[in-house]
Amino acid sequence: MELSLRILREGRAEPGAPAPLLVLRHSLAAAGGAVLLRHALSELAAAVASGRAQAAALLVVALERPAAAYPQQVTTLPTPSLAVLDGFTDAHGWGSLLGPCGSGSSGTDSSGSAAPASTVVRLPGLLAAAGGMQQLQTAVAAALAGLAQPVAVIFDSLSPLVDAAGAPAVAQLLHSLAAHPAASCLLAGLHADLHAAHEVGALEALAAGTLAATPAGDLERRVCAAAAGGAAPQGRLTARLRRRSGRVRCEVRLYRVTASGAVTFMEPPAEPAAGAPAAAAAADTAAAAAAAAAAGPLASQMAGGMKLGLSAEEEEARRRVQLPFEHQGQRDAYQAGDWRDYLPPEAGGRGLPGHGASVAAAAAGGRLQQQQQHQQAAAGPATTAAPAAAAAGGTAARQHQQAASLGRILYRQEQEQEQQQLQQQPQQQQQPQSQPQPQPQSQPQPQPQPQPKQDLLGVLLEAAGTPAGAAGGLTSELAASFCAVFDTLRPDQQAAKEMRLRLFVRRGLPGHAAREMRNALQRAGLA
Amino acid sequence: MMLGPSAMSGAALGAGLSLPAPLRGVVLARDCLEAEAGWLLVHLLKAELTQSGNGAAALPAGTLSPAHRRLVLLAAAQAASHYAAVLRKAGLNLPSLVAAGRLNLVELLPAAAGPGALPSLRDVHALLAAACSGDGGAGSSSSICLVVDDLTALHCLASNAADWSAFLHACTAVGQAPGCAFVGLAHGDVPDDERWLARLEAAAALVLEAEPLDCGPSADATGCLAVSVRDVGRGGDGSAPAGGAAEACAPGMRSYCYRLAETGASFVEQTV
Repeated sequence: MELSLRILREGRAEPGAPAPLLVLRHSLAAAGGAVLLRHALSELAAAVASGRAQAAALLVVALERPAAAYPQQVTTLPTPSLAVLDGFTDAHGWGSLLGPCGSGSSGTDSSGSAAPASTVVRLPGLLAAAGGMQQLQTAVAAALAGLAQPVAVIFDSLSPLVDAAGAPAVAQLLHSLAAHPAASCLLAGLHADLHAAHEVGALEALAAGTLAATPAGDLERRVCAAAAGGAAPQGRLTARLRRRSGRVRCEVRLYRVTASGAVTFMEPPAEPAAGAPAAAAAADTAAAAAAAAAAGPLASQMAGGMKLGLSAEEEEARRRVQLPFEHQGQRDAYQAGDWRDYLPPEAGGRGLPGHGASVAAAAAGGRLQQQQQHQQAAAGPATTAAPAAAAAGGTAARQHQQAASLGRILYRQEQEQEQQQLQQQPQQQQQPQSQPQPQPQSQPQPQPQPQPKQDLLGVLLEAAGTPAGAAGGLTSELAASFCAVFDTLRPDQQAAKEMRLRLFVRRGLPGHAAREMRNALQRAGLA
Repeated sequence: MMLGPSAMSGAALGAGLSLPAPLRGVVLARDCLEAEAGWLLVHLLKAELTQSGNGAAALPAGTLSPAHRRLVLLAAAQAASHYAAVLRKAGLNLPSLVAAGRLNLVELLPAAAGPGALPSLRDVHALLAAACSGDGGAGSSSSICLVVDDLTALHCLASNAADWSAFLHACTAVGQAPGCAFVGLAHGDVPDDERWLARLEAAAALVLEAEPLDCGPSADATGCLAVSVRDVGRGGDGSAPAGGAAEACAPGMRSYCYRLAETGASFVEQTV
């Protein structure tokens, strides 16, 4: 709040600069918003009276409270330094229910001796008249001319003006006042809950600073009440201030309003250190683990109750577990979209058998199973070491086997579908292949290796000759290089690779086939 | 204007319910279909009419006491016979209060003698102005406590939003005059009234909201009353309340469980 008031006290940065506007946002959820505005008015009046402010007088535009209330709040001001424009008493021109005695005298008057002499100008029908904004602007200009300049202008609430004339008209009024040479600073209250967000935003855009009163959090209330000995704050005041240098500074204070209307500000509770919660949690975990260890082995495993974290040993064991099919440099194959290229053969895929985890686990599981079989066959059924060892290392192998079996099932299904499609279109495969034709006829089943290779090469060369193949990067050189690598693959890999390439070519995806071949060449180290 | 210490006590408002006494500023009483707050209005009326107390004799001469603050009741939802009956249970005689000038009852329902006979808001405003001005005789004061029952019914008389805003503003201005109060009852579950209700709540110094209990009314509790003090009320001379009512006047929210009985309501504050 002090920083906000400093902006008002300092006023214009230079003669040609606009007067700074400070907007105090109320909300229905936060109590004491009007008290905050009165507090700011009192502080500003005290600064004006003591000469600590650029302004030499105050002009209050009363739209939400009776005009008679404001001179009583600025008793420190010498005369004549206060003018009040009363736009509240008979704002709609219907007349006051209390009659002329209760509403005050008409026209211009001066208050009594209890308060400093001030000028109260009534503006009846301000909110109902068509030219109400113009009337207000004229009255403000006249009041500014009659006061010692420069003048601090305070609107107790802009909400009635926004309801009557709209946010653009109010923004224009504020803009003209900020540019007025007699204005030193502007302070205005606004009920943010009563207007659309864009209207509030339009008015705040004109402001050099915004004070937002919101309810204090429950934790803040409790912490501050404990620190202050029972006095809980009622609200939270967030100040966003734009300094002359252009930087925006944010300031948060908690405030408390007493029954007498006095406002006290307090610092919000300090944020805990970044590592404090983790350190505290670690300390708690260590203490719980130590206590549980003293209680027994089961208790130490449970770490003293409902433990959501892991102990050091558990963390280490978790880190050492190698997932069966974790990423190990197979990003290209993975991004190709076919999981079978990524997964190793143990899982039913077509990837390289280079996965250390899978190979190690599968090998360990396989070795243990072989040991178990040998022991059962040679030494008899009673072997305790093999099951135990198999139990230790066979879990991972079983998982691999399960995944591998599922993969094999899916692989087999697609293989059968591909074979069916191949059987339905045998002529398309055999027409472009004149030379290899007799070989498959002479050796249909026992030697599949040269026959698929020739067919496959023919298919690839045919695809490379098409415009789509050329656009996709499929060339005859690539096909020839791939064939050299093809012979080095295992039979199951050859079958899988051939089926994929035929599938890509058949579906008009020569680019995918080219990428498949380039990947194979890269793996073989020939790219 | 100075008020005696007895007038500052909130005990007259009902056992357990701590409200600023006397009422100052704009007081909004809001209810809903599941928890009607007509009883609250009667409760506040009784407190206002019985707040003369023993402190009146100790007041310095020339000062005003709550007993001299005139009560103007605008009955738009209930007939005068209803208020006569409920005030009789509290030991108050409505005709004698009216005759003494202590209470001025403005009744709208008998004026609606036939179709098309509903008064306009301008007419209601004129009736209220006449009632608030009084006869100007001895003992009358400019301090008024205007009670409207209820604002939602009056809203039906508004021909346009501008008229309703003007009428509401006139009532609010009464509440913010020195030594005066405006108590309005409104139904908070009418979607079309949300806009003006929010503006009235923003202008209110005290909001009383009756809410139903989650489990429904029981033998021990009928409903829940949320008391929200939004602004610090001040007297005509700018003095702040003192004594026992200081805590009740501090901005904040308090919640009470209330139980309705034949003779009135009892309250138990809820501590969270």
